[in-house]
Amino acid sequence: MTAQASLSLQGDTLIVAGVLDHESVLSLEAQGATWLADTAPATCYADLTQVSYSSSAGIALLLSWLRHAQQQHKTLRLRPLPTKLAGLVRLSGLDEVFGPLIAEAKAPPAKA
Amino acid sequence: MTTPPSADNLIEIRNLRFGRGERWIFDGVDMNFARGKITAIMGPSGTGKTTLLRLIGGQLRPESGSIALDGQNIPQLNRQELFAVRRKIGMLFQSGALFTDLSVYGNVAFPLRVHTHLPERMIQDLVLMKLHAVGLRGARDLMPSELSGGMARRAALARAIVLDPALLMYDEPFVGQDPISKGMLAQLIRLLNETLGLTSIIVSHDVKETASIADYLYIIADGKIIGQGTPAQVMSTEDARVRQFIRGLADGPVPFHYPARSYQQDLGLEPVP
Ligand SMILES: Nc1ncnc2c1ncn2[C@@H]1O[C@H](COP(=O)(O)OP(=O)(O)OP(=O)(O)O)[C@@H](O)[C@H]1O
Ligand SMILES: [Mg+2]
Repeated sequence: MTAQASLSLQGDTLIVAGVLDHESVLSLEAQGATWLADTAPATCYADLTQVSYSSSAGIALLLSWLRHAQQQHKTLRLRPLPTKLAGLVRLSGLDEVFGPLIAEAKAPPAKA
Repeated sequence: MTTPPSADNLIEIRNLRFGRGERWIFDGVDMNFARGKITAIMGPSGTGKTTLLRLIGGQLRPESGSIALDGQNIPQLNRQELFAVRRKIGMLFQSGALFTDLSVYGNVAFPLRVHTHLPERMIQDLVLMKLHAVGLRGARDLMPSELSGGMARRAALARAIVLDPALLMYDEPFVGQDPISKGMLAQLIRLLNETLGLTSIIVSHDVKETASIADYLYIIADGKIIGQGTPAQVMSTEDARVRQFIRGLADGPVPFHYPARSYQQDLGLEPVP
C-alpha cells in the first residue's frame, strides 16, 4: 500500500501534491531537503494546496523542511494550508510556529 | 430488519454471534458505525462491550456473522492482513496499559518505531504534536508511575492516535476521573474526532458524558441490542429496559446478577422444598 505523493518546482515554490502519510513523506522529506540545500533561493515557498489528504506526518514533513531551511540560513514560507492541515496545526498547538510563516496565496505565474 | 451496506459506514456488523461457555454474549447482532462519527456502546457490566471491541480488532473471532471494516471482513483475515488493518485502529484500553518501563515519550513513540520507517527527528515531532494535543508535552520525560490516573489516560490517548488511525476505540475512558477531567476528556475526544477525521467508538457507563459527545448510541443487554438512536432519541424512549439503564437503577428488567446456580447449591445447602 503505497500512497501517491509528488513534488514539483515552480520558480521559488515547491508544490506538494497527493497523499501525505507516514510512508509517503519519507522520500518527499529527502527531495525537499536537497532542494533547500542546493537551488532554493534565500526566501522560498512550500505550497500544499494540492494535497488531497494529510495525516500528521504532513506536519512533521513541514517541520523537517523548516529545520533544513534554517540550517541553510534560508527562509521557507508556507502558502495558506488546506483546512485539514490547518486543523492539525491548531490541535498540535503549532500556530505560533507556523503562523508567522504563512504567506499570501499567490496566483501561479503564467506558463512561458 | 437488516440495513443494506453503505459507504457512509466505516464498520458494518451483521448477524454477529459469539458465545462464552454456555452463554451467547452476542446473539445475532447488527450494528453500523458511521464514518467520521462518534458511536457509543452502553450496557450493564458483563454484557460484552469490551468483547465487542476485541471482535472488531480481530483479537477474538465470532462463531458466525460478519464484521466489515472498510469492506474487509475482519474474522476472515489472515495474520498479515490483520496486522495491516490494526495499523488503522487506535485503542484506548479499559486498563490504560502504558508500558511501565518506558517514559511518556517512549510510550507514544513506540507505535511509530514499530510501524514506520520515519527518522528519529520526525518521530520526535509527531510525539510532541500528540502530547501537546492531550496537554502533556511538558510531561514527556515522566515515567508512568509518576502520572495521575487522568494523565495516564491522556498519555495512552496520545499513543492511540500517534499513527493517525481511521478508527479509535475507547473502552471506559471516563472511569476513575473526577467530573472536571471527565468533561475535559469528553471535549478532547470530540475535538480529535473532528480534527483527525476519525471514526470513534466509545464504550462507557457514563451516560451524561457519553450522551454529550456521541452522535449515535447503542444499548446492549442479554446478547441483543435493546435500544439505539441519537442521544435525544434514546433519552426519550418509552422502552422500560432502556429507561432503566439510562436512569442507572440496579434492579428492574435488566438483571444485575450474572447468571448463576441456585444460591443454595453454591452454599452447599439442600434446596428448600
Ligand atoms: N477470556 C474470557 N474467558 C471467558 N469468559 C470471558 C472472558 N472475557 C470475558 N468473559 C465473559 O464475557 C462476558 C462479557 O465480558 P466483557 O468484558 O466484554 O463485558 P463488559 O460489557 O465489557 O463489562 P464491563 O462493563 O464490566 O467492562 C462476561 O460475562 C465475562 O465474564
Ligand atoms: Mg469492559
